[in-house]
Amino acid sequence: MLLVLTEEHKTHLSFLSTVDISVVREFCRISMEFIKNGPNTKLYSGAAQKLGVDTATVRQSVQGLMFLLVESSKLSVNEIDFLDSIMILGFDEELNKELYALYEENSSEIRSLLMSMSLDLPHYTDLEWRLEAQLSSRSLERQVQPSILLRLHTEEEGVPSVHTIETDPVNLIHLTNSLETALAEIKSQHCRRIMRGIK
Amino acid sequence: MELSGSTVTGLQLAGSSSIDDKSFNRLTQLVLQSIMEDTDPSIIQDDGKLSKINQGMLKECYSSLIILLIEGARTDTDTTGMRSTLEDCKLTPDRIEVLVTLYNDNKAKLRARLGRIRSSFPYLTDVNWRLDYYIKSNHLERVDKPVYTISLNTEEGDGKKKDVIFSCTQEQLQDLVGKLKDASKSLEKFSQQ
Amino acid sequence: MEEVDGIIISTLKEVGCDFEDEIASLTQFTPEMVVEASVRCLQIIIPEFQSPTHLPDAMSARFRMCTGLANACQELGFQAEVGYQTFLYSSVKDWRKLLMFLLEKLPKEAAQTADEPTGAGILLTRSIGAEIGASLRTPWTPSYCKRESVRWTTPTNWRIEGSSGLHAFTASDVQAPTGTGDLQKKIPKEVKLYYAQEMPYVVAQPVLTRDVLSSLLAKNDSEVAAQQEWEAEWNQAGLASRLSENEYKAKKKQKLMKKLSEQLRAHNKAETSSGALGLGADLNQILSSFFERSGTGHGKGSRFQHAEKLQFAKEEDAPVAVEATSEEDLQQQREQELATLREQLNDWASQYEKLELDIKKYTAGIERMREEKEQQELQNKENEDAYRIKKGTYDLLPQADENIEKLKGLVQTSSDRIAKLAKKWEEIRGPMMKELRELKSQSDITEIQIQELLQEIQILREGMKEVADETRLKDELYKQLVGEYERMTKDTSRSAYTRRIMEIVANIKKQKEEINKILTDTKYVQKEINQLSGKLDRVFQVTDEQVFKDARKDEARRSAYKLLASIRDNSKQVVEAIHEAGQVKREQRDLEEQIDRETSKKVTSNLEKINSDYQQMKKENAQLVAQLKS
Repeated sequence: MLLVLTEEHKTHLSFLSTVDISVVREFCRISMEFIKNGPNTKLYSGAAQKLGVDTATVRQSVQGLMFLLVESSKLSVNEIDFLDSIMILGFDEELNKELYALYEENSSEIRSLLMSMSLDLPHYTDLEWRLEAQLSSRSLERQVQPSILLRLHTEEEGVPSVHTIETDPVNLIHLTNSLETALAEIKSQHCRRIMRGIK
Repeated sequence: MELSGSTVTGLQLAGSSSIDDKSFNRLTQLVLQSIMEDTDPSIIQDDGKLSKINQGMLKECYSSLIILLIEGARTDTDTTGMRSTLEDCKLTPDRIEVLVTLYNDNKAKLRARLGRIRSSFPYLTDVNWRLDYYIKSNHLERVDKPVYTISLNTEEGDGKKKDVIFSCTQEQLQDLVGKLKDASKSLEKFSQQ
Repeated sequence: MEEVDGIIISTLKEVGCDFEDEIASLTQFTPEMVVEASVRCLQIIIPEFQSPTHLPDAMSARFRMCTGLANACQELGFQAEVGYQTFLYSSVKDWRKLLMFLLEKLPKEAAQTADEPTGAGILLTRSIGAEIGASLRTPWTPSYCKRESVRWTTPTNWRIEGSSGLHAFTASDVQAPTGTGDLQKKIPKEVKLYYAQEMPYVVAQPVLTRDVLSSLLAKNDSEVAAQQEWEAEWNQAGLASRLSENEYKAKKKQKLMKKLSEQLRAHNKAETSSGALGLGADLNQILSSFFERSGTGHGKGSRFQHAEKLQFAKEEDAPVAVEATSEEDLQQQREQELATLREQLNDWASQYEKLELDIKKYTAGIERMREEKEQQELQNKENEDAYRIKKGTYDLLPQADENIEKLKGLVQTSSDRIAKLAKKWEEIRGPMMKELRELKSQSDITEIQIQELLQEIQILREGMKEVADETRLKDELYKQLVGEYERMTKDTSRSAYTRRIMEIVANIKKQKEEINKILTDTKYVQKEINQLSGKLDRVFQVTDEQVFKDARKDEARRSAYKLLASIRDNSKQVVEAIHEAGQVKREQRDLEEQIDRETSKKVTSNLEKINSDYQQMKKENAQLVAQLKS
């Protein structure tokens, strides 16, 4: 899958071809920093002074670089597609390689960052259980009622919550078997065919 | 099993000649019925066979007989214990027999009824699951991961129901199933001890 | 060996092997039977052990199964060599050894579980385990298939599976008539009427009908608890006080009331001294003032109501006139009216209070006046008395001497009389005092007796309680033991074992005797042999000496001596030959035994069998290869 770059984006990035490769590397570092921790305007002005250009130009090129990284990580493009996509910018070979190296190095991190931004459902984190038997109660002495207490830990948007659930052996076995079937379903032919088809 | 003085006097009254055999039999049936089901008291009040008896006496016998049956079932008293308790209340042998057979025939049901008086956490009764394939989102393309949505159906007493819904990835489900299997295995092991 | 075989076979039958009745010895066993027996034993020793009980038809499968069995035996710690051949191509002896080993492993396990002290804890764990096992064996059902969350597995066995039918233990107060049948206890007519007509049935008393059972259980519990509490108190303090039950209760109540009021008073005093409330009066005053206040409050209320009524009446009087004015005006007017009326009312109320205060003041004044009047009347009477005495003395003054004499006489006679009376009093008093003393000592004695009796009663009551507790404990123990006994009755083969053991012991004794007999026989023979050889030696020596003596004299005798020597050598050789023959014979017997043993191993037949099995296996393999190719 090729990236489609807008004209504006192209002009922002074109600045990179005019500077030294070490400067590009520095810009790459700054843009990763941006993705992780947010913008740092001081760096822009410092770099602009050093290079003798507008602060705006520096900012635009860093942002352009960042956008390129994020976009390609989002689509998770492969090497050929990546290189083909940036060919249009007319950079020299070395710079292209450098950009790809940067992409390869950081794409998994960017993807996990993006993953954490997507919508979050309450999801499973842990399960504790214990086996008990009720032997007597105020209304009934001398009884033997085995029961299992489950404590299910879930989390939604970083907020943990706990569910305490009681059940008996029969229902526990049913639960285990049902979920085991569910787990096995992923290996079924139907599922595999669909997964293959989507990839 | 221990009965209070007022209950014992009530039982003595039930065994006395103030209540004839037919009414006694009918009364025991009604007592059992009102323990097992939520009955309307009017069925006793308007019962033809019991109309001859003074209502006050009837009320005393009625509550004492209920206490006798549920207290016996609660303490898991056997037939001999029941018989000796009734003998202490000086009932005639045939009336003792009526009560003991009634108790013995319905003991399991009585105990089940008393066993239902119990508080509990949300109680798991069933599970539903759904397997989705997470393809992409607005932030991320090519996620391509299976995601399970699991809903635990629980009951909360008084007929109220609530579902605990959560999602998990394949690995998380594997972890969950592993833990549940541990629990099931330990149950089996315990039962074979 | 037959006894051993008998035990082995009967034990195997108990384990579950299906042998025919005529089999009495291991010599009649076939490899199939040995395999079945070992599999059954192993299944009991190792619960997880899984294997079919019968040999399969295919040769290779047989081989595999037997190797598996052999491995299992080795894992259990079987010392001797064991392999698939032990099962398929072995002798009776090896089988016996193997089966004995397996059976030895069996009863030990059983004995361990039987020897365990079956305490309450173990019984409990076991019953929980059984319950879990039972629930694991039942299939799952959806919750709508269960009535009120109760699952009935058998008509007497149930389990809670769910909570939609459950409810908590909430008890409310329920009342039922008591003593309606008791003719001795008089119940007031009104109460009786209430019982018969108004009092609802117990099932109708709690708000939620499902709480009837918990309420009744709680009622019985609290009544039983109160009864026990009372009994304990009566035993401790009640009996010692020597009052009747009712008197004791009344006294206790009085005491409690007194204590209560004292506490209140003390508290009140503390409060007044600290001045927190600024109330200088004592408790009674506070209470009475409180009642008064609430009383006047009531009065106000009623008057207010009255005023309201008046107001409404007014409004009703003039509805037509008011109708013309607008709603707002009406409202205003009404409010004004209300305000004025309220003012009036307040005025009146304050006036009333003032008047009431006045009345109180006046009544207090009246009271005071009355008290003053009584005091003055008392004083009056005293004064009058004093006046009368004084007047008498004044009357006597004119004839003083005469009167003094008279008075002296009077004094004399009265003092005489007093002395006489004192004497008489002494006379009467003496015996009375004696009697009193006697009675006192008697009462002391009875007191002590009562004390003793009370103590005895207390001890008896304690004893009663102890005995009752003991009976309860014993009853429980009895129940537990009965349960255990029922579980134990399966163990019936014990007597069979002991009988067999006794038989074996007797047999061994017999054998021992025979061995002893043979031993003495051999000893006897040995002795004889020794004797004979000794005799031989001695005879030879004597003849040797004699012939030697004569040998010098005569040539013929010399040759005789030579002959003797040769005879001696020859006979020695003969003896040695006999010895050797004996040894050879023994060796021969040994060898024969060995041959027997070897033949008993059925080497040739086994070899043939192995050969044929080998051929079969080859054939099977060939078949499989053919199958694979096709």
